[in-house]
Amino acid sequence: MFSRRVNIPESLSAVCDQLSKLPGIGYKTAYRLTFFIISRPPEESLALARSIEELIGKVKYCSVCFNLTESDPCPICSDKSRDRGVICVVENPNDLFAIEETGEYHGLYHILGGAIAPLDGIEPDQLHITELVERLKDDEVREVILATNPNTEGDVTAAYLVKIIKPLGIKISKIARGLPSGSDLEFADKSTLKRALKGRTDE
Amino acid sequence: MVLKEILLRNFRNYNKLNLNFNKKANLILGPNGVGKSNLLEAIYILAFGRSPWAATNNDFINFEQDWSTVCGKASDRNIEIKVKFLRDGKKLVEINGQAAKSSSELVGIFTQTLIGHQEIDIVRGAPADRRKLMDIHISQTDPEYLEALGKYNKTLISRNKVLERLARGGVVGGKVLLSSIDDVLIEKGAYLIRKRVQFIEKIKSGCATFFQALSRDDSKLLIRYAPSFYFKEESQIEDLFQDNLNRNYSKEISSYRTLTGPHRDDLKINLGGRSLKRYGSWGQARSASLAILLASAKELADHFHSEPILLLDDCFSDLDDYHSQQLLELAPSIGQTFITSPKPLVLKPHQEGIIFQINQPGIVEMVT
Ligand SMILES: Nc1ncnc2c1ncn2[C@@H]1O[C@H](COP(=O)(O)OP(=O)(O)OP(=O)(O)O)[C@@H](O)[C@H]1O
Ligand SMILES: [Mg+2]
Ligand SMILES: [Zn+2]
Repeated sequence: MFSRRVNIPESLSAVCDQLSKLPGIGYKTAYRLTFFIISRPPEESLALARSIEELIGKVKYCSVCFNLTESDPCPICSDKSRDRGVICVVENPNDLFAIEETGEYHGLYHILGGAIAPLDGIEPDQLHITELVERLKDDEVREVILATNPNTEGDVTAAYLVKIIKPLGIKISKIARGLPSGSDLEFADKSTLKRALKGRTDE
Repeated sequence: MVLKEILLRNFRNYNKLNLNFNKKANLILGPNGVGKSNLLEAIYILAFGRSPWAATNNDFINFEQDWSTVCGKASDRNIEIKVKFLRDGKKLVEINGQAAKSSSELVGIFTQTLIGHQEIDIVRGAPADRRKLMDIHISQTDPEYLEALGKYNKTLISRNKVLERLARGGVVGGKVLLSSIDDVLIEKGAYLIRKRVQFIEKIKSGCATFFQALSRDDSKLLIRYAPSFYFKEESQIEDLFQDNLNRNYSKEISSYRTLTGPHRDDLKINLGGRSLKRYGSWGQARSASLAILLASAKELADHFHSEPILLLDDCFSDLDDYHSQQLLELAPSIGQTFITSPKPLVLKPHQEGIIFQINQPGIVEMVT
């Protein structure tokens, strides 16, 4: 970024290094953000630091569905008014938030923690699939909705889950149809997602 | 759709260029290395967002500059496309002022057929060249095909990776994983196969007609789709695809390669009942390649009820006078045609068109 002659304080380049590790942030942007952080009133930047610290300290994965939560089980898993007969399987917490936003779904969730991606070295045993199968042994569960992302990894993951869940004799449906392909669930607009949830197909 | 106007900024050897085109024939003439093919490349970019030849986004930017734009306007509808390239390799696509998510949104707007050095040898070339011909044309009429093709290719690479992992003995639930990948591969692959069957059906008679028009040869040109596995009915595709994957498993696991599927498709091209690739002359193979490309362009026209763009890059050098004249008349009868040639070419008196002469690099003069 800068030639070696420019003397940058070590603590400054440390923050830069950290920021540039975030997705979508290159070195240039990292420098801009760092300069912004240091030029703001100290209490504002410290508030940012503290909120990150709090996030790490308080937010955990739900031991049932692997949603992000401050209490375990998470509010969705502990909500008695939700339909415990339906589990919607998603890749990441963002996908859960996107579906919750539609207000269209009242069942439970299961977060896989990603998708099967052999090219990135992600294989089924690295996802929360065994835990899902455990949950499905509960007689209460009638239906599983597969809501993986409409891309290659999501398709393969859904196909894999169908093979694993089918022998259990539980109804399986898929929502991804009609979503713009290649996109992520979290970026699908609300009305498309609503339509996708309503018009799910049986597997 | 007819390309009315193009604007180039810092594109290859053009700093600033603004040209209005004829809706029929546009001849781009001039000595070697002045920038004729660069112009065709720019037009191709409007259709596909990338170069037809191996080139990275950076290559388009003029040596002295750090960004470049290609902008094209259609005449029939109010369509304006802008593609901008930046030095860091980024590409920005705008359709009517709206940012597009990816260049695949461009595909199907300015529909095109390119006939260049590689395409003109499609009959004698590699199977991959013939698959590319199908893919490029079907993708332009069917965005779902382009998507299925992308997913198919990615699934294929994943599959080979899993084969390798299985061979080395270490994937938990590997067999189930492989068969899940097979499900996706078969779903996407079957879609590609069906579309290819349809496409070849559609261009079949056109290929024969154009071949006769081009070549004064009465033998019948017959083009046939040759999938990687045989099926009688389209309804059998999925099952037979699966059978073939199962049957080849032991070979695949030792080579980490998937041996059946549309990535192994080909076309069989016969003249008078004999394989052109094996028995035909260079001239016959050329005429047949041209006929297939013209028929593919014609299919774009039929599909959209609107004229496609034909880009003919330097493909007259190996044709005799008769073939050249025929091609020069046939192409503009199918759609708006852009032809580059380092040698003089003339339009027939009844033909509508413009000649652009480039005598010095980057300087384009209109002759008629
Ligand atoms: N990024 C660039 N910036 C400036 N000039 C470039 C750039 N890329 C290529 N060129 C120049 O463009 C010229 C090649 O142009 P082009 O391939 O269009 O020639 P042509 O007229 O088609 O020639 P031929 O008749 O040999 O096919 C070369 O001289 C090359 O130096
Ligand atoms: Mg050239
Ligand atoms: Zn939970």
